[in-house]
Amino acid sequence: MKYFESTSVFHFSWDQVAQGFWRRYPNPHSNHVLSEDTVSREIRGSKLFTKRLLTKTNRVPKWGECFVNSRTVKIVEESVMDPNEKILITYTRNIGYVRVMVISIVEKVIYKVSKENPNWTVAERSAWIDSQVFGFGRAIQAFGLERFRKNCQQMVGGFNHVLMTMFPLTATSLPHTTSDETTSQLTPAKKETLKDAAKKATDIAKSKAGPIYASCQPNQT
Amino acid sequence: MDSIGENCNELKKQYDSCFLNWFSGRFLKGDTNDEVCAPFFKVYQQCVKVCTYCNNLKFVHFRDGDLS
Repeated sequence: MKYFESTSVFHFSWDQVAQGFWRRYPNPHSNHVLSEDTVSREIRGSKLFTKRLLTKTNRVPKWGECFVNSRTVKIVEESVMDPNEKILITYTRNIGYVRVMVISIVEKVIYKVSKENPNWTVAERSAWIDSQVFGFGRAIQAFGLERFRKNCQQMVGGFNHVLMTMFPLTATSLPHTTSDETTSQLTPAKKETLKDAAKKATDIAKSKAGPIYASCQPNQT
Repeated sequence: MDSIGENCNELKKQYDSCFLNWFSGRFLKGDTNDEVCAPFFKVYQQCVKVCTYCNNLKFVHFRDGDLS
């Protein structure tokens, strides 16, 4: 089981982020998302509880194809939105392959008002990555870390794109280190080989124990 | 964004549109009465329920109440 954390800041208010959350897809960084459906939604007390089902293309490296033979993966996203406290918590997990358990990724994101600036929103992201496939555990978890990093950048880039389109007046007041730089950082992924993944696994094993903090800001390496 | 069922896209659009209006105009301002979009949600849900089985999602293990 690997645990990862990262934090990013959106230069938009919590209310804007909350509205943008429902309209994240499609965006230029989400070509892998094929469908999005709301499967349940209700108010409990003053909070909004929503469950959405997403299907995404299954971008599995060559060496994973012997375990995973589906072109798409289903993902459930559950969220709780508290408009009074201005907190949005989301839980995302992949479903299917329960018996095979090739890789399980659970992500939690907490969106709240930034302490630095009340007009900004902080997203604190955690991910738990686990795999039961014997012998491939480390390579798969290394692959998971790389996927987490890529997902993270895509998530931030994609969400920012949507927010800038929805709230152009707020967007014009942003520092210029946003959209263009975000796009330029998202270079096409080179093919992940087993060798690459295994090397990363060794690197992870060598690094000190404890949560791994993955950078999620697009303009950092 | 498309629905998992192609033929549900129109129903989804109608529901999403109702929800987004209600969300910014009412919910974020403190009104928690979501009845206005309930009829749209109902028909959209019926469509999605049928489509999830068409798309072989019976192999997928939803938790209880995922699609209730």
